[in-house]
Amino acid sequence: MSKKHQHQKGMSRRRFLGTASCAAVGSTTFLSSILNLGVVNALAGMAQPSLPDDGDYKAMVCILLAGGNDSFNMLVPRKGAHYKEYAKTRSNLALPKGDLLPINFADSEGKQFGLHPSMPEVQRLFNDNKLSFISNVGTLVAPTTKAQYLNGSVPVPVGLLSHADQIQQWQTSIPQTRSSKGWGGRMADILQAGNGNQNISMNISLSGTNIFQVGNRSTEYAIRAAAGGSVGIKVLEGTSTLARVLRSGTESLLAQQYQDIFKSTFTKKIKDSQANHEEFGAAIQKAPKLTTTFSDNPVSANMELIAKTIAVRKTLEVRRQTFFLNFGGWDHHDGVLDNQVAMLSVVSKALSEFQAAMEELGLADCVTTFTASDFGRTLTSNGNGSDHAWGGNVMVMGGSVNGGQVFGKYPSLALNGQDDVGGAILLPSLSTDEYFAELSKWFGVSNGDLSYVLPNIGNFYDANSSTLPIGFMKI
Amino acid sequence: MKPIFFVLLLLPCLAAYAQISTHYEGGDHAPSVAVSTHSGGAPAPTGSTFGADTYDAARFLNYASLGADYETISAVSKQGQARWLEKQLAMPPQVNFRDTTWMIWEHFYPQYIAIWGRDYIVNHGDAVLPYWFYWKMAWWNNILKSDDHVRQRVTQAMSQIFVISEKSNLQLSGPGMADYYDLLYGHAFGNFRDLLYDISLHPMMGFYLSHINNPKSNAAKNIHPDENYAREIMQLFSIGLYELHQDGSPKLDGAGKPIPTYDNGDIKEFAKIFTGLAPAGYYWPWEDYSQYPTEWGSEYNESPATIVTWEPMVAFEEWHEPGVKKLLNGKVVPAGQTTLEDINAAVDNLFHHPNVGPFIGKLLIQRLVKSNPTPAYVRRVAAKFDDNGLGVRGDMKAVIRAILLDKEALEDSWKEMPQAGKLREPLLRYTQALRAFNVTNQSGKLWNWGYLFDEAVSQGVLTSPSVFNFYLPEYQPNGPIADADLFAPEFQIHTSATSINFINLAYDWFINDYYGEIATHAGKDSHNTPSYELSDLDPKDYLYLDLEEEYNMAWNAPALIERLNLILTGGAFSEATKASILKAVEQLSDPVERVKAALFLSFISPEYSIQK
Repeated sequence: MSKKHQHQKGMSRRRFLGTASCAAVGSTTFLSSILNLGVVNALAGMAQPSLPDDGDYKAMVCILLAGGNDSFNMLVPRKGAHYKEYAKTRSNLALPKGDLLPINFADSEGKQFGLHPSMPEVQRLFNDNKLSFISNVGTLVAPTTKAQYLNGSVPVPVGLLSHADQIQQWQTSIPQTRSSKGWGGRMADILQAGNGNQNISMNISLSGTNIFQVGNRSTEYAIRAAAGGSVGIKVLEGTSTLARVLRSGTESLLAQQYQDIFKSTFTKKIKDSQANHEEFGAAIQKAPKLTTTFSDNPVSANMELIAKTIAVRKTLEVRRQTFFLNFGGWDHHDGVLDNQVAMLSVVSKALSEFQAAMEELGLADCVTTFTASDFGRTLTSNGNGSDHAWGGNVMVMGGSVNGGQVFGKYPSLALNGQDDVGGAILLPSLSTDEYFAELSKWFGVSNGDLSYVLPNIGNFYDANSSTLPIGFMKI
Repeated sequence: MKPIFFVLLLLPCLAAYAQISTHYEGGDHAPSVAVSTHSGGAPAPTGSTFGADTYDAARFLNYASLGADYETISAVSKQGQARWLEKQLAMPPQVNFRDTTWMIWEHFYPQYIAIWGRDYIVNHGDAVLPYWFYWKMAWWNNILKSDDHVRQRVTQAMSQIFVISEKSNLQLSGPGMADYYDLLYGHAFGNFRDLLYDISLHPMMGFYLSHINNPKSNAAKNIHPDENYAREIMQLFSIGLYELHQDGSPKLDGAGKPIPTYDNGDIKEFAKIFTGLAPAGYYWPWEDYSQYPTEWGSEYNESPATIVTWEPMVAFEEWHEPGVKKLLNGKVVPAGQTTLEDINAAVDNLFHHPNVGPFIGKLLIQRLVKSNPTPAYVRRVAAKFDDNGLGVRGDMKAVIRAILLDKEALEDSWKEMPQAGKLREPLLRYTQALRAFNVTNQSGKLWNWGYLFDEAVSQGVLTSPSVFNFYLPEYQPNGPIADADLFAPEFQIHTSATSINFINLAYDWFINDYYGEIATHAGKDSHNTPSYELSDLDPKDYLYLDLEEEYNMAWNAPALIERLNLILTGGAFSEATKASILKAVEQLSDPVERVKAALFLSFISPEYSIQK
């Protein structure tokens, strides 16, 4: 049999994205009408702090690699016995030693590391001290040893190894229960008031609803690169008789007060979104043209939109922002080697482009980007892929990061070794709480508020400690 | 389809989809135009209403169909819901999605050959294959043309439980996507046990959850069976994570904690069951591969593009995990069974788990009727799953009857409770817009991609971002719904982007007469992709709605609005909503614009969007 084997997806995605976009710069009439109706001023009583000066702007960018990145093929021991142990356990999933991109770091055991060959940009960022790894992070309720895990003497996360639970817990950092509120949302509950602009959420999502950015009082504002930024109601922009009639009809329907909570929730989302759009859309038009170029794929396109949004922070009157980007498709039970080549390359380029854009804006120290994923994957192979596991490696990037290091304890990759709780699943040595607490502290969450943002933090770290939980941030 | 009476008017100043609409120059291709233009004409049955039976029928059809026209509502009203439902349940499948997909592919590929030359098409690096979009066109075509309302609606609901998605390498095989949908469609009125067995062997599921080409363990090489399908068949397709009471609530242990239905050890045992499966054969559109037998480990096994995606996977016993396998509840599969014997045993083991009735029953209620069924409603449905009255377990007809005819679905008294209702899925709003007014075109090719729609509102058919569907059954939006501890799954895709995009889509439909991304011609800039650019369409492919009755009511706005209130919502509009729409309509002097405005405002109204 012979056949040509290069199937593309059969269409140009870019072409679609081009057609799908609708330029939209709204008039402000709808916003004013809503304001007049008193709909969005639930926050009216809140303090309106003065405009931030540039030194105090901070943004956090969360890149969620949804599906479970096989991160022990992203950050790999590259020398001697350490590589041999890796190669033995990973079997047909092991990357050839010669393909690994070396990084300038050795841990306390003398372990040296290489990166997946499709991440030369990350290699450069690491060696330039702009990016670090944190090793073997995962969901934990409390510090847990292998013996405690095996004899069940410590509570463990609910739904370990299950996507739905683990991707949720990476966003809530409350793994003993199922919750739909995330630590980014809880940060916004506290810090949103510090933004001059109370209409647009501190938490901006490039990927729609998510758990990370929803707090007890806060929710995300969704924008999309594919739509050119924020989205507004077209009918509010027309000038014909019909358009004016439709506009007043639309406003009239949305202005009704609905007792029913489904209807009021439905309507509030539309009204808030339109009001947000009118501000956001006007602001983003003023974004300076960046000389940094971004790759032609949705991840880079969304990172570019984040960069533009950060560029207009003064127009938007914000001093704290989080951004959430979900890059899915990492559940590589199958074809993990081939898939990671393409997907880690997308991540590597997007990180490097974004960092360059922040440097261009002079904001490298003010913006920290970090990755998260459902879980690490089994070290052993299921033939040509790997299955759901637990601890994994993550990246943090930015001028405020202590770059060029591998934080945490890179685990033993020996099968049935000290970190393997069975089935080549690694027990995390650092909790998401410790990881996120350090980011929160940098972002401006006070010691007293830390346990509101991360309710389990006390199990791992004394909020009033003079040292940081991990030490990867310059604070 | 009904006779054609329609109007095509373009309002250039409002042209949305600017790039698309530029060549859409108007109505000269219209075979006939029938608009009542008499000013102040028909005697105004102001505030005219329909009989209570008619409203009830329309409301019932909101649960039981993908959108019903006035004639169907009248028929249900005359027959009664139960009798009409029995007729529907007796209807065999009316369409075949795979056949239609092939038919559309066969319409397109000769065009590629004609434009680019056969040699280029056959040998080009970017393969020309029956990709996902032919299946999408087939889906829209078939659901818009068929009148097996209940089967179509239930299938669409099932496609959100037994999830595969084209947002994966499955997009390489349109016929495979269609065949999987045919499987759901065929089993919608069958037995749940057969459904569970057949989806487990479908090669598209095999690729999606990676149990195709899954070898037995190899200790020397540290290779263990793939656990993906083993987990999801339990967590998502049959029993869920926790032991359930019949009413869907979790059983609690002595410490008040829910009791897991399985642990990771069980997953490892089930993973052994799903080893040794491979494609039934090979396929390539440009060469006959039917004579080649499947070989384990062939590179051609690895892609939905190169295998027969419409026949069940076959077993290679030497690659199946030997030995004893432990199932749930103390059951054991003995050593030495064949792959299919093992799978049968595992499917039986799950099928007989007491969780299936409440777990699947509640998910179906959420898709068809309401987001927050009472425990008693779930219990009544679960009981019918357990025993259809004739001692048969898993009879889907009995389950569907129990869901659709339950007092909680039918009786008005439930409507005003805070836990009543659901946000209509955006996809169902779209299918209703097209079906309620009998969308058609002269060519009969209702080949909609639905791609821009999906991009705008984050929903299509078999397009979810992961196996967890477009939204989770227990999603709670912040605010009063979460405060009341209620669930509202569809709100997970009601975001600042999608909520507004939907309004803009409704504007494109009703104001700009742009009802869908019809494609009938090969794209000029790509050798393997159809074009939905309007400039590439024949006028006879343009979609239009049959709004004759509505146009006849253009000068009787209250009657027009009441008709839409009936057809779309079964009478859910408040006086305030009717007044808002009426005020708008009465400011317009063009009859067509009056109807368009009434349709647009109805479709974006909160009282339509929330189905009660």
